[in-house]
Amino acid sequence: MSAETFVSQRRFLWLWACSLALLALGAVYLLDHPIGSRYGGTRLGLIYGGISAAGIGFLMWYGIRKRHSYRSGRGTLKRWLGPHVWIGASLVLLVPMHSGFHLGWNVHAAAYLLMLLTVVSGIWGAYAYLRFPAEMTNRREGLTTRACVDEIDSISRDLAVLAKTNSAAFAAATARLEVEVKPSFARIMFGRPFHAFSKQELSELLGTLPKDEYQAGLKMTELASRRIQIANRLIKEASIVVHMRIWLYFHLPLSFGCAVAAAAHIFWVLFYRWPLL
Amino acid sequence: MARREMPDQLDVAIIGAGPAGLSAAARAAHHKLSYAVFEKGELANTIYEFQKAKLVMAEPRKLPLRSAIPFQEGTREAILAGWQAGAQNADIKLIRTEVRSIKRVGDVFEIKHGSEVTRARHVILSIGVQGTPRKLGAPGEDQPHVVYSLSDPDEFEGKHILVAGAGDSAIENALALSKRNTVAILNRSAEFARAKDANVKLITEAIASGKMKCFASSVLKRIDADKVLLETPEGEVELRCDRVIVRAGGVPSRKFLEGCGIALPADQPAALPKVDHRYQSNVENLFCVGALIGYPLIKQAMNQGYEVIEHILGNAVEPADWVLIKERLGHLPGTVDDNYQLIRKSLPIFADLSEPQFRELLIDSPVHLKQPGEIVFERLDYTDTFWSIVSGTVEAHIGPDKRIPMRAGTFFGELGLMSGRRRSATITAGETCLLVETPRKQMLKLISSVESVKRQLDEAFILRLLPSIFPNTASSIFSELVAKAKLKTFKKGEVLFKEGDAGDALHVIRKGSVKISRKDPSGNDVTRSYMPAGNYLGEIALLSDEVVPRSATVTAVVATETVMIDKPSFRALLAANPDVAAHVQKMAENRRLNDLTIAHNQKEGAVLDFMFSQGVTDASSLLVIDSDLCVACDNCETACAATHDGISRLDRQGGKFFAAVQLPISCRHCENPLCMTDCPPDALTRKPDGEVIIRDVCIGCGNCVSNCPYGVPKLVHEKPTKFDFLAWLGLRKQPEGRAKAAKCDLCSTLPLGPACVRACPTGAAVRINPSELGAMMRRKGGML
Amino acid sequence: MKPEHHVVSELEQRLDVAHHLPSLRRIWIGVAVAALGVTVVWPMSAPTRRGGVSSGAISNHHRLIEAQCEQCHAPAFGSVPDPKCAACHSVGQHAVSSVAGHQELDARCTSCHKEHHGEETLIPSDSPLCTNCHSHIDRIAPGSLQPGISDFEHHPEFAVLAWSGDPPQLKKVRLDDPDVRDRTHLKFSHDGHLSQLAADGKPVLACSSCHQPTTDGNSMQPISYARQCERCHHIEFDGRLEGTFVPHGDAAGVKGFVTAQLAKLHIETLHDGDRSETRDLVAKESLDAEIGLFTPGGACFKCHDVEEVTPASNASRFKVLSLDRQARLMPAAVFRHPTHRLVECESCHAGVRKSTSASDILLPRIARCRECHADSGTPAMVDSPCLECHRYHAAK
Repeated sequence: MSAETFVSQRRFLWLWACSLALLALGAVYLLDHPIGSRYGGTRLGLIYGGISAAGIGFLMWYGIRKRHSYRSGRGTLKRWLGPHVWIGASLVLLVPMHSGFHLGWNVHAAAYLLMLLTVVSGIWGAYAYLRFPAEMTNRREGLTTRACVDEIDSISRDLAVLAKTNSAAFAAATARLEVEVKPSFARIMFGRPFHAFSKQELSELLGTLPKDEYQAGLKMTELASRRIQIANRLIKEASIVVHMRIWLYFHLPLSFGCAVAAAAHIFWVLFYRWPLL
Repeated sequence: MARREMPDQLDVAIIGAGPAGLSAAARAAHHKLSYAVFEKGELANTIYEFQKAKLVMAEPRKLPLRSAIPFQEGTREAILAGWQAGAQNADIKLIRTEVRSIKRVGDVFEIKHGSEVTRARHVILSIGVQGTPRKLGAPGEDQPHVVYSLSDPDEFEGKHILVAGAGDSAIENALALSKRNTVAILNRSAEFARAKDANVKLITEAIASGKMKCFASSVLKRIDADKVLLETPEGEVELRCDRVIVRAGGVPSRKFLEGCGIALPADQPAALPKVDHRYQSNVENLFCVGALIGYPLIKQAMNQGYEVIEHILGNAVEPADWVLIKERLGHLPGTVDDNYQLIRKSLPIFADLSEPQFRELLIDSPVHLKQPGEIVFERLDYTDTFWSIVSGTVEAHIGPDKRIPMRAGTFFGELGLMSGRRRSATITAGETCLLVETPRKQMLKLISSVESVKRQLDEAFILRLLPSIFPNTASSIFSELVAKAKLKTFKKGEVLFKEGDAGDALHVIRKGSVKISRKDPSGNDVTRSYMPAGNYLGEIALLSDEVVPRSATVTAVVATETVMIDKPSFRALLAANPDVAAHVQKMAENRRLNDLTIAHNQKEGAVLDFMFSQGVTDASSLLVIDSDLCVACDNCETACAATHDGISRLDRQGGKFFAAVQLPISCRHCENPLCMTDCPPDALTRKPDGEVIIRDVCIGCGNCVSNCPYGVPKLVHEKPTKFDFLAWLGLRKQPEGRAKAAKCDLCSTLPLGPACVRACPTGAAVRINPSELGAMMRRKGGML
Repeated sequence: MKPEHHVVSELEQRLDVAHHLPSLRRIWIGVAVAALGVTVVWPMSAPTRRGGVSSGAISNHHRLIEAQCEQCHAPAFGSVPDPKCAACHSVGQHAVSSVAGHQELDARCTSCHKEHHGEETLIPSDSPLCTNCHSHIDRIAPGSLQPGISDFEHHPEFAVLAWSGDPPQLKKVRLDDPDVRDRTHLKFSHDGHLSQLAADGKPVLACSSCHQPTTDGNSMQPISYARQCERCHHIEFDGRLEGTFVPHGDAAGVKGFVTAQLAKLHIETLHDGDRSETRDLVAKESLDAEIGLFTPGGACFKCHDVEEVTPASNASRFKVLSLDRQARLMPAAVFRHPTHRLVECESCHAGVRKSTSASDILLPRIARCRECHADSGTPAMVDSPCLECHRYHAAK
């Protein structure tokens, strides 16, 4: 791993800051003795609720910074991601302190549940971002996706030329080996490679060709095998990229669900107004 | 055009119905002169032979058009149609015939064409340079399937085609045809030396990938109906062939010109006729205009056609570009004429330019009147213009207290031409001085077309470079060195000297950059570092009289030019000046040069090699993606597009990989930008902070796209500015704006810097100066 | 040169998993809208669906109105105003503290009674309810005479409303003041009564012989002559009239009663002699009887303080001093005897056997209570927050 990841940047500054903050807030929580039980409406509960709401706002603001502040926006996105990750994790502890560790089957706990799921999906994403790039690099062997795709196209063209200049049987054999490279969702998700032809299959196929086309046939099988090889490398690479992408399909919707539920929670707790009724 | 009855003697005979000829004919018609235009091919044959739908430009933009024939930028078809219409409207007399000779008999010219003879008092040669296409001289070349042009490559499909030639046209035709046909290219020499770099790269790739065959160092022996016989280094080869396209170039027939009496220098086979300001050659009443005298641009040719008629009539005509000269010199005290003459006389470097050439230069060169002490430019500025001193003096600030005066008639700022580097010293005006500032592009053009310009610059370079390397040395010693010093050019990848060779010369890198490699214990050559222009190397072997073997191998990373000083001369220099010896010794001992990246082992060396192959040494700002951090989220591209009209200037998926470093396709803002080499409207320019940007005047010709070896500039459609309601509703497709080149501009308009870097969530994308590469690699440590 | 857009081949597109999935933007917008619907719009639509948005469980007694938020809540962010509570709870005095100084506090019902968190916050009883102010009461109410009390462990000695000082004044006095006493013009000796032994040697009287609990059982009924004393103590005034007792309670009427009784006694001799002699005799004997009653040795004097006054006309020369007993020595505290029924009376009321005067204050000191009671959370002790003994509202 390189020197500074978005998690470890500035020597884990944000980890320290959030830990210290949590310790301090936790100490205040324990020392506070409200009348009756601890819950969100005590003075400290309201303060912690405010801090949590500000925290959620900051976390959501990351999305705005990422997608809508290309021209301005203080700091680079990497510098934003550091606090985003650590503050997100801290909220998992802060919110129960706000509520006095009360839970029930209601919208308020639903907001917390959504937050937990969001944080879990975020941890999944952070793990993916930290672990998989190196794996991609190791597998890449210096070739870009574009170069691989171009090579597949080029091989297809060469195969077309070969097929045209030889017999119909040759063309048929070529058609059999030239598998359609059109990966489906499942193939990419699970990294299932295309079927690579075994020596036996190839030699069987070569046997069906006229004798004078044997050399050409060898070249054709070589090309076709290489094509599948490249396609499979693409599939493999794509399946790693999936790790980088798929978690976001959970993280984003959950985070919006959490934000809406949290807003609803604040609404219901503070504003008792039924203008419609 | 119907063949008219010709009068016995014409006032003017115009040879060649190109833009210049047509324009002259229209003007002659206007003045009711008796004239005829002789054309052996099509109307505007050269343009007619352009590839289908080729975009023809109307440069120079600033130049007004003086002609009854219309002309503006457009496709080949549109322009030809315009000229056809113009010719018809002006009722131009056109004679389709080939002129064989023009001889002066008394005070008229006898023009022999076909079996006829026409007499004319004045002759205008506007025959261009395509002239006679070079023939191959092979039996069977008269067959109909042997042609000398290709108008539409898509005309052919599935055919076997042989393209003969090694220039740009041959390559372009071969590449276009190879998409749907089986193509072979026949090259008389071993390499494609004459063609543009971009074309050479493309054809080399095409040959390497088997898209077409290449027969180098080969000639065509015989052409049959369906095959050809080639003589190759490996022996005779018979090739199936449906069509032969000969693109071996054309020159104005020297024989023809000399037959007309035009004097051409014997030692310059490709020389063009010289003319005076009336376009008259050395033969009285024989005029030459247009591409024939070195003005390949259509607009200029048309203006010259107009002007030459006026000159023939004895009318004082201001050259079309005079209005621009007036603009240029208007702000100076005194008359425009006087100032023009003064400048013309005072600059020896431009002495060999013809009048029109000089005028063209001056139009593009701002003229400054500077007061004493005014700064002309400052050290480390990124400007790259060439300055000539017409009158007065300037002072070059070499050291903190050291100033060197430069007199009228000399020039300065020439280093920017060569290496595209920043200004090495501050220049201020000494006395009140008149300075001409010429853009780099114009100077480069002159260097390649006027020999004396190149020579004077080369000499000046050497003379000026040496004192900066060897200070406190008498100038007399330098003049000796200058005489002995040689300018050597090295192609990309060529070795200057090998490790172990006997050291026999000092190299001062004038242009380009080199890499330095040494063998490691197992015998592998490992790249250690590189050196950019402005530095010297190889001096260690020259410090002692004995034979010293070279301690490293030096290879040119890009096309490089060096000034080579041999050992005896250098030893003499050292003997004459012990201070210099001490200085050089010290320099050798602690070599700390700018932009030095040092690799310590083979792995790092391999990464450096990769970097050099990607032109890192020339970059001033490099976008590097650390692929150990990159999560392929493409936010860098999204950011670039979001800040640049929806079109990303960055291609993350493209570009090359090596180890854990990726160089996506993104502008490197080179020190020596290759994209700038041929930008007609001069849209590509360098900002004061060093970023290379494309200004709005871009016309979308695509030269920069071909010239950039890294595939950086792209042609993109401008977004239409008018809001099209129907298109918004989806009822019709809004026609796209014109295409223009676009590339990274380092987000110079944004206050916080490159958007791609700032939008990377993991910090994988960074823009660094190449000198930081070494540090970056070391930081990544053993993960390379 | 043809312009190019960032053309990506189909294969390249398909390699990106995002190509196969619906647009992420649509997904999160959909989720956000759904969440809004579920958490705000749907509960808003009907009161019965609002259980999920309540901020906590309603206490049992309010469950009947838990779907009608407007029964308690007034406009936004304003909490619950007092009239909303008063609509059902006829608070009357309940709303006002019986303790001096608390009426000035700008306290609303909901300052202390918090719903939505079960019973424990609806009627809170933690010490912080009081000690949040009382631990530094001098800063909150400068000039207050209250000491700062932070918990039971640091609670000062109990104080009673009793007499102390010279001349004696009625004020709040700490029990550790040696001078403290209950002023009462009664002569009574606990010791004397408790040490009475019957023929078999057992004590005649126990605490419960006279002290009876009130109907609620918490405290003891006031002692009355009729209930407790008359059993043993009869007011005889004349040896000749055994069985004729002076009715208790009406000191002014004693003279009349005595005179009447004596007159009855001498009524038989009224025919033989001089009526006026008999009248004089009755008058003299009644006077003697009166004097006998109200002076040392007399039945009245035995228990009451008596004062001689200058009578007006025929009124009595003697005035029985009002007892002036404090009904409650600790008016703001509550003590419940039934919960302490396993404790012997004398283990707390320790000085009773030594007490010979009715002015003695026989209440236990705080140390005695501390033997079992302590602050919440003290191991093996009874949890005793402030409200265990003190009452904010009118004590019962």
